[in-house]
Amino acid sequence: MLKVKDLHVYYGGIHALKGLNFQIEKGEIITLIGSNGAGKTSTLRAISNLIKSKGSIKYKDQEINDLNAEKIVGMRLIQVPEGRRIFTALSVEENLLMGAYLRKDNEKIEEDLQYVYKLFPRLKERTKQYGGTLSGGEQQMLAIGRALMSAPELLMLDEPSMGLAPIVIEEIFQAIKEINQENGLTVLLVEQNANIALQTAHRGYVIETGEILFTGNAKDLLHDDRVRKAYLGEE
Amino acid sequence: MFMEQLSNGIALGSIYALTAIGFTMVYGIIRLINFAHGDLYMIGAFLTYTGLTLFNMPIVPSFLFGMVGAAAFGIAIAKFAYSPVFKAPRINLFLSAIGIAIFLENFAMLIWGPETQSFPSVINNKVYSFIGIRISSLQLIILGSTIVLVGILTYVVQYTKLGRAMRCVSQDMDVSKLMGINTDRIVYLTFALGSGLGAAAGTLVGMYYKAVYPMMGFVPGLKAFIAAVIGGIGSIPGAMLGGLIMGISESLGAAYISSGYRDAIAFIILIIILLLKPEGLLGKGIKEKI
Repeated sequence: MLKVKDLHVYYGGIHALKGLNFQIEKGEIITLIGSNGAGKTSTLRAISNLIKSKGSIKYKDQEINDLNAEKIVGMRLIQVPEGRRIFTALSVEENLLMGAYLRKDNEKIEEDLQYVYKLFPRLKERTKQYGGTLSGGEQQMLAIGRALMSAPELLMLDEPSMGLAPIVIEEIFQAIKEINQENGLTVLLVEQNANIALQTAHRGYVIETGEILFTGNAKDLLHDDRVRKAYLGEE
Repeated sequence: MFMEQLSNGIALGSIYALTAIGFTMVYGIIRLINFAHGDLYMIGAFLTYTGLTLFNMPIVPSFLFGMVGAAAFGIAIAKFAYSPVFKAPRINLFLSAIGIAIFLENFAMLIWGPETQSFPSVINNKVYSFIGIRISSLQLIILGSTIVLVGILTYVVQYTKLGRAMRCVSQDMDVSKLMGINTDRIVYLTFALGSGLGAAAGTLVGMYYKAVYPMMGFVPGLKAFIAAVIGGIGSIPGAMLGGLIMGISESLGAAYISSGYRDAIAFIILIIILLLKPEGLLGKGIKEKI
């Protein structure tokens, strides 16, 4: 569904991504794990074309590296950005409707809205509240809900666990799993929290200083010595 | 005397408010202190003047011609002077704005001449008085046009999809792109709206003082900036409030203190408000929640 080949990103003189290669099949959850500054966020920003990159990004057999960000959204390749970035001065419902900005199928939009409320009942209790008044976990739910309102075919999540309590992280990753299993939504998950990411995903890629070090089934990676040492804090 | 100065102040204040709204909208969306805004106000006044004198159109079409013309100027400026430096440090954008201000002033001198042109009287300026308040029909027109324009703008910003997109872009441009919003288009549209409102203010001033001249936008541009900051820059209701406060206090100050202090009063209010509430009256200090 998505095939990234030899992806390079430069920030001035800094070579942030040094020829990344990976791919995602339809219906999969894959994860990119790696530490701070490894290039995970740059990868997602390059795919959504928020930053310039060199190399090939093929989505549903179409080269999308030259397309504008909003065109990519129109192709249902949706990103939940790092740090949630919800619209704090808009109400919860307005935030969700922004996700559906490009859609014209009003009945389906309403249906999806109800789906999001069912998935995250806490948002339903707060529809008229400003986004900025929500707790961190609720904001993350809102960010994911907003992305679901874009009717994604491939959903990219950038560190959904960031700054959240373990119990909330659990809840959010449960929801990600549920969306994937019920609707067959393809998910690209970028995480520093390798443990929960590998428990959720089918396959994983380990990324370090802008390169993919190795890849494998999530279960195998969870027990891989290199991963355990580097990312799970075990000796 | 007090009531007369008050109605004077409200008329002046609505003009400041209209100018300040355009200013604050542009700031809200690209964080640019648009120093050319006052000159767009001047261009708008001159275009209306041209519509009246050269094309012999009635006032309403001339007024619209001025607004639409200034909006076109605003888009062209955004496209050719600002968008090439959007990604550069803010200072470059700011310098570009000053350059455009100088350009527009000289452009107006070239086209319409450096001298003051008298703005034709388009309405019969009657003075009404009721319950001790004296108000002229011109003041009523100024107030009425401001209310109508601000009403339309508020409706667009608060209740339409387009307005929601504008609010999103002003908050977070990158994430707005992730919603599928064509952010460039929203930026140009904001310039168009802001310039059009500025042009309306310029035209109303031309009608009020019966004069238009190339430097007429300079001081109002600064005042609009002050009004926007007083109200909380980026906030549309704040710009309205800031404009009204300034107009009324200037009129009253000129009447009761000394008319020589007219312009200084604006700055004194600015200093007091910045000392007491640095984010402006209706500005929001942004805090991030974890």
